[in-house]
Amino acid sequence: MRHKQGSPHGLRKSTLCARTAFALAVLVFASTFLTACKKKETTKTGTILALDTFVSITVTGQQSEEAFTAAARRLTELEDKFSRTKEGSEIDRLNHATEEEPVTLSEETYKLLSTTLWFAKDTDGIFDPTVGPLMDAWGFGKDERKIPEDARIEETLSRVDHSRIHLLPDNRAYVEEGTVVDLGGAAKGYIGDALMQEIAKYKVRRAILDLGGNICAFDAEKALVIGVVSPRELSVLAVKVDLPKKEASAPMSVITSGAYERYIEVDGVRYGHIMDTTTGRPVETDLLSATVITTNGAEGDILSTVLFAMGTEKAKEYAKTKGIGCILLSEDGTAWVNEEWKESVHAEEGWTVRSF
Amino acid sequence: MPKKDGRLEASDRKTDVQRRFRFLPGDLLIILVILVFCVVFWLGFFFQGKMTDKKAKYVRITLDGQVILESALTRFAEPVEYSVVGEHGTVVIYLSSEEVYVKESSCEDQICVKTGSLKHTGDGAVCLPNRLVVQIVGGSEETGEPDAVSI
Repeated sequence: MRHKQGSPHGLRKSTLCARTAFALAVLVFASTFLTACKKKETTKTGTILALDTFVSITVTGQQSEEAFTAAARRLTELEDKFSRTKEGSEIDRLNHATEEEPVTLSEETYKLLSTTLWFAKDTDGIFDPTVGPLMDAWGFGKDERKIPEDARIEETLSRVDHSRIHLLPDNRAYVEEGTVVDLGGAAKGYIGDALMQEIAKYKVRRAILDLGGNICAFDAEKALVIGVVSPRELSVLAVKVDLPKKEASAPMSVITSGAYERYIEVDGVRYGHIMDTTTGRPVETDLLSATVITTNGAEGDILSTVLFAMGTEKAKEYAKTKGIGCILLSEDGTAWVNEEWKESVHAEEGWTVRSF
Repeated sequence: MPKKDGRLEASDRKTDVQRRFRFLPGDLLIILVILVFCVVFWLGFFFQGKMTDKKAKYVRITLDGQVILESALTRFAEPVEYSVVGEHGTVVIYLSSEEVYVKESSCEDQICVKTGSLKHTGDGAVCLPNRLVVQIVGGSEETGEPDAVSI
């Protein structure tokens, strides 16, 4: 009791000390609490050799570790289903099935196969899931890369035809003798979305998947910037795209097709890997690359190939009627962007953005 | 102390508290000091970020001769463990804004792990069995790197 009745000066001094201590305690507590909260969020990133390419997964959030593991597991599972070269995969079994003995596919393989067939019909075979043997004839995927003889092209073309794939009820399907199905042109896009669905089951704020150059990404807090490589010089960008912020349930894919990455060179002439199923030769196009921006990865994967093969004028028309978000890089340095996305696409040096 | 005194103290508490927590001139001083501290720290961090950004160092990781990661070290303010799963095995690389090192490797000789910390431009660690190279390279001063690149 005595100190309370002490001089006002003494009182002031002791409360001053108490107040300082209290204020500092609050400060220390607040800062440690805040940093502790922030620390909970981690980034997990890794590159996995899959789908004959590099697959990079980068996840940020409170459960980044779990989300990464789940995505990696799903990647292996889907590769085992869709691979054409892996013995015993669903596509491998489909390629060995006959009318008498059709194969029963899983729901998702059947659905993806139906999607590719729908686009094959819609584009009159510009996109065709049976193009595999033709690419083999040109030596893509193998070391011997050479221009095949006309007779070989003729023979191969007779087997390249999506109408030789037959879908039956109850997820069953078969292909006619000699025809080979390869989901390669749609699988990476589909897998991007499928991995994202796994990631969305966890507390994740941001994820970026790079499936051999196909980007599938979302960020719940800020816009993402995705670069599109310049086909003239692969170390620089042609344009940058701003993707709006999105939740994990609605990721966006940015998928590019071009002939600059996979090609064979014979006598100084480059032959790209995207085939024209009417001539059996690489497509002739005035586009350097076509990029599709979409919420549906499988469709984006298919459509980027289709737009690239069509060439500038036809691609613009097709994209307009179908409402496809796209960037078409043409030889004269123009980046054609559809009206909807023109505000979000920014040209780098040497390129000019024009909308259509 | 008798109980009576204790009760007396309790009933007095309200006025006591009021008296104790009157706003005193000293409080202003404390608040000012804390504010100044905050501003100084904030400025410190702000400028440190700016300075390091200008002479950014990059980490480049190649697997089988292909670049699989190239990123400014400043991006790893929060350290990241980057695992590379190749045909030959798995390598875990620790990435932070301060240093980079190979944390784990599936190889037998563990030379890459023994190389230790990589901090300066030119530093590098190689894992021959896994065909992996980690390097610190000098970066350009360009800003506004994209988050990902579509090829």
